[in-house]
Amino acid sequence: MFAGNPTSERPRVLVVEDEAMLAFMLEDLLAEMGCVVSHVAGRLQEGLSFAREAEIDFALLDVNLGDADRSFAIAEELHRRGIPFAFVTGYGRRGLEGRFPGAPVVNKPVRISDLHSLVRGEGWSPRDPN
Amino acid sequence: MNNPDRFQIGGTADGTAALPGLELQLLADYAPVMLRRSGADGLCDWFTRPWLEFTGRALDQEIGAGWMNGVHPEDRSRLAESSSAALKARRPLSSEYRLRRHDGQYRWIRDNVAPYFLDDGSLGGFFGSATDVSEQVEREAVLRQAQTLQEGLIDDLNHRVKNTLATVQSIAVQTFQRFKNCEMPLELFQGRLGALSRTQDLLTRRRWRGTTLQEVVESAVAPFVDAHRSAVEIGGPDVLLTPKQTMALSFALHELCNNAARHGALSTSGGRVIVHWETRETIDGTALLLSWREQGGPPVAPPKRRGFGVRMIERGLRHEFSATSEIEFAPDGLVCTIRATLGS
Repeated sequence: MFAGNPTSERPRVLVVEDEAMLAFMLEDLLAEMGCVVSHVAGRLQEGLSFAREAEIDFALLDVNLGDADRSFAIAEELHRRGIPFAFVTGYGRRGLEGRFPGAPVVNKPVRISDLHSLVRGEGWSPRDPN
Repeated sequence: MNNPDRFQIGGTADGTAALPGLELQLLADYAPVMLRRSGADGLCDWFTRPWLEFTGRALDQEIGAGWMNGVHPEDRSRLAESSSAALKARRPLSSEYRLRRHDGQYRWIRDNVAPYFLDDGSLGGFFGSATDVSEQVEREAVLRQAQTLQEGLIDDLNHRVKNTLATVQSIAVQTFQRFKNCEMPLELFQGRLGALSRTQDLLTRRRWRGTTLQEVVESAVAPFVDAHRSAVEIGGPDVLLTPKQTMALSFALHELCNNAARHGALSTSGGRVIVHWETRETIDGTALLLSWREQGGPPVAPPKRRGFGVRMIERGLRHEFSATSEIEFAPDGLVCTIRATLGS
């Protein structure tokens, strides 16, 4: 079970992903792993408003959100609220341009075991994700 | 060759070192290169005909530092600085700058300047030889542009391949995990891959700029109407779709077709599907109303659970272009209504 959330039974997850098909898959996979995808955002603004207000335990963030939008502002907002987040990207850590060195990165296409490790609380940096 | 600062002196067959003065002048005037000479003070005292023909100016206008007036203002101080450094160091200099041609056009010039020395070893001055390399410079610029474009295309292609792989994985996970008890998950999977592939073909034909709604609908229904094309009626005004909208709508339409072929109007010979759409201009953009209407199929019963197909239709369309969709399992035929605002 996700380490960052001892209180809720099923960790609530925010998924920010601009490809609907991929968002649906993450939803299915996370559900199988005992999580609830409580919020899905496909665009930057939507993701930002969830990051500011939503009751979530952790977030998975795609980096490129179309129209040259990046999810970095969402990550900053989550960081401000102390909510853990990981990036899901086809470009690996290189795609983060040196930012958020403490945040886990899951490669696309997603390996189910990588996702499982994250949900089990592995790979999260004990230090500040920024 | 031992001293790179000195010219290697050429010669004539009979061993004399030089041509007579007049012949030298003729040679210089007919060689396809613009020559000039400066004294030890750096001021020019001699230009050949090609130079004067190029600039279209008279010799007395070019003499001294006059020729510098023809150098492009943006290149002038750079050239003056490097020239005075070469003069001071008595070193050769190779430079490129723009020089005004007789017709007023600035051309890129490659200019090689080299010092020459008198018998007593003192600096005699410099010889300069200049050629118009504009065409070469332009070709290099075009080549650089092409390289940048190619790099962009490769990055773009890489991004698309990765996206496609991720999409295939998503289809696989959703088909095989959600439909564990389904009788033919492999067939469903193949069908969905086929829809993905056909949509990519369509987008590639349109150079990934966009498609029309008409061709997206035709492409989606094509594998389901081989035998009786008349079973699907398609019609509506011209509507342009972005690549992402094309993808989302293709998946949604594929699921509608698939459902119709297995349970609905396309599962019997007398069934029909009518796909119609209309548009209306609003302040937010073009409002699209598309309806998928099945007729003449077996009686419709709502599905026991909402699976991949319904999710792809309802949420996939909302995710990609804020469309709202309604699926009505009416007894005489399924009706799906999609409302979207385009270009918002």
